[in-house]
Amino acid sequence: MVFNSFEFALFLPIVFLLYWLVAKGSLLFQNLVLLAASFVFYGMWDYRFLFLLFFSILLDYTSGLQIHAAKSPRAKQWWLFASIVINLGFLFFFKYYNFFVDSFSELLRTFGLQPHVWTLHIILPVGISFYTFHGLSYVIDIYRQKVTPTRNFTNYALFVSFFPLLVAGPIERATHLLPQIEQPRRFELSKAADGLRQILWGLLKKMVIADGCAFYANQIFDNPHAYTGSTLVVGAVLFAFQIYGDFSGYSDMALGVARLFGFELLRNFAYPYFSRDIAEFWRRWHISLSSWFKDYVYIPLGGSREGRFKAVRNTFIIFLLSGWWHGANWTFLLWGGLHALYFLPLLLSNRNRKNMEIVAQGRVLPSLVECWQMLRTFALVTFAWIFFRAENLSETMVYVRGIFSASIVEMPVIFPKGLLLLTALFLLAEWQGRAHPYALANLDPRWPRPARWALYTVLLFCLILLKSEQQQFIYFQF
Amino acid sequence: MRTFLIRLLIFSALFGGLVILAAYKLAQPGEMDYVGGIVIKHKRLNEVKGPRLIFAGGSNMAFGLDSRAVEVATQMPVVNLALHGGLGLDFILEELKDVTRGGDVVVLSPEYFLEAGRYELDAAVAAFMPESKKYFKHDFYTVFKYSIESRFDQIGYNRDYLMARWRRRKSAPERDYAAEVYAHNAFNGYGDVVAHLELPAYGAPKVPLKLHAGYWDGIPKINAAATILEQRGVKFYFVFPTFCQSSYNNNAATISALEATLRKDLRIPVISRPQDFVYADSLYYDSYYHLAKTGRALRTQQLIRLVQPLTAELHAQKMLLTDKAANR
Repeated sequence: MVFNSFEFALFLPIVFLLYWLVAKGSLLFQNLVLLAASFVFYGMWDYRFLFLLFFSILLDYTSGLQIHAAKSPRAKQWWLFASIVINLGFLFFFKYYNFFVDSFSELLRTFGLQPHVWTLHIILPVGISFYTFHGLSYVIDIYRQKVTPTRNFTNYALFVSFFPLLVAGPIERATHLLPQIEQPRRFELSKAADGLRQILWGLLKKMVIADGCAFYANQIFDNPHAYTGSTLVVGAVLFAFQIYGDFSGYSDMALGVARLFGFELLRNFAYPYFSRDIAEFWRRWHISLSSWFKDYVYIPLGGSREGRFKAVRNTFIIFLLSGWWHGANWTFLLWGGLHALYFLPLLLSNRNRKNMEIVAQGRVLPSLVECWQMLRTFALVTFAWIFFRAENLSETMVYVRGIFSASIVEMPVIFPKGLLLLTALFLLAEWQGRAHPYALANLDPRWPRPARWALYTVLLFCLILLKSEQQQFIYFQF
Repeated sequence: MRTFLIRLLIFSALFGGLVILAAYKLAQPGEMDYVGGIVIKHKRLNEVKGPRLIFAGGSNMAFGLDSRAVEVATQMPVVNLALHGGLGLDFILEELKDVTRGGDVVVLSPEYFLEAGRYELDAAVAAFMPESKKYFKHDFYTVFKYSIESRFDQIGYNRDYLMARWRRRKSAPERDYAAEVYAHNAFNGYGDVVAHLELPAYGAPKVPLKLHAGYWDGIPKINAAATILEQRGVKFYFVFPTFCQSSYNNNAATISALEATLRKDLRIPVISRPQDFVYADSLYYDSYYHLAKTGRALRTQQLIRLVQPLTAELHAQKMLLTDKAANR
């Protein structure tokens, strides 16, 4: 079940009414409703993987209690180690097993050996990278004594499997979400209305912008050898908007749905394409993953406080891990490596924390310098997306060579003017709302209700009239 | 909570009313009328008394076959039952199970990785030929979903229609080729699409198609149908669809793997190779699968070469076409 499906349009009101009307007044009953709904939501992908999800929940719940109860540091370490190894073991098996076997046998073949490899037809369970990271953060935080483990299994199970964030994040922390699960929730009209608005904005991002761009980007990335350099540039730009609309649209919908049930999830996107440098981009793109790697990998490794060499090493480690997290393909690793290279000059010149506030704060328009900085960052990010999107290394090379060929000065073969105009309008809408959590968030205080309702109607008709062929959410494969 | 629900209900009612107004049926896509061609095909099926050579599949066969030429070459009455891939493989196979009889020769040519049918097309066929309802099975949920989604789709059709009218408002009226080709009367008496033959061909789309390889659940479905047809005394064969050169080149490995799987797993003979029906992009009318006049003639000749030995076998068994004129 996906958020932009007919099934979800039926599922959501049913769960909403059960939660607020039937289970009203009972925290346990409300959490049970959400837990059951989450398992139904996930089971509709593939019910067999419910057992894996349940095992993951049980493992981390038990590990958390054992770490907390352990008397000696050694016992604590043992339980932490066991939890990490088993969690990452599942992730490795489902996500990376065939990749390692294939890569290893390829390596042996280059030395003239003919290995008998044993690969498996493994289906990747949807959301495994997300819920594994949820569980890991929980046990690590208990080990670090940042969190006291919950004894309530329902609450913990809901923390991991809460359906808005189960399959594509945001990657939540126990310190943020568990207290909300444990506290009684009261219905707030403004919060629910805001949730619906954010869902609407997310749907527009996904169904109009992302799916529209995907139609052309897929054509171009599927046949990179067939197009001129200029068309390949158009393809890369369209993919940049596709992945942004797709993932941030999903996150908007997840946050909006959670808000309908009285929860506030971590913000995952903060207008990343208005970033003035790569460091700012990474503070604004997939924030919950970046902060996860920062807190659980970068800082424990010493961060940037133990000399230049370690800072550079740690930067490469987290960017490569971030690429690796996305999937078992060398292209993702290169994508991460490229971003590390982009980041390095900022780190070495201590300019990586220069742009902390949103661009042109308090102003309507950016300065020329800011425009240039945003364009430059967008170009770098878009170039890196080629590595992310291409099927394999050889297609990446075809694509990149194609761009840096003489045909870059020719007119693009594919140039969807209407879609690009729509994307420009979308960017304008995002620009005006950039000081807020999402573009429509600043509507409420300024607009009278009839005007707001008229705008919602227009946006809903835009959804109906401008939606493109439905595409799978990109981040579901991770 | 109550305020929220009341406001939500009022807004939903207002919006729903606007949707109903905007979904007033001004126009519909050509394919909805095109599938009305099923009536001609079934008329032809019923007219022929003896064994028939039936071509089934999607629009690649509807556009890419000259049935008369095949009939002349094989001396066996031909019916082109192929209509539209969007109806789905289940529809095509159920239709075959319903209409075939002992002595028939069936040549099936579905498009690559043909999937389940689209309800709106199945429903459109049923509007022309109510008996075709037995060819598709859609559960209550699908029908319910369609009844809602079709309103939204209709708004899109109306938009396209109004925009086209607005664009044409100042220029002289032009001939609407698409409306001629994608219409229920675009077929000849055999069931071949002929309305496009004398029209200028657009060629295959410039961007080659990318097939998404994977397990094709059509194989067990075809095998299941083959069992029934075989028991009935029907000869059942598989041929690959026609496919434009650029898209074939773009998917050569995928198609080759599919061919190997089909040869291994299909219980009916695969009598062609994919390359047999690959033609230059310029020989296509408007899609990756729809041949224009010259391409259609080439494909027909190739099909004749493939089916002649099969029908010759029947002739040898004295299942001859005795009264060709009467059968027409």
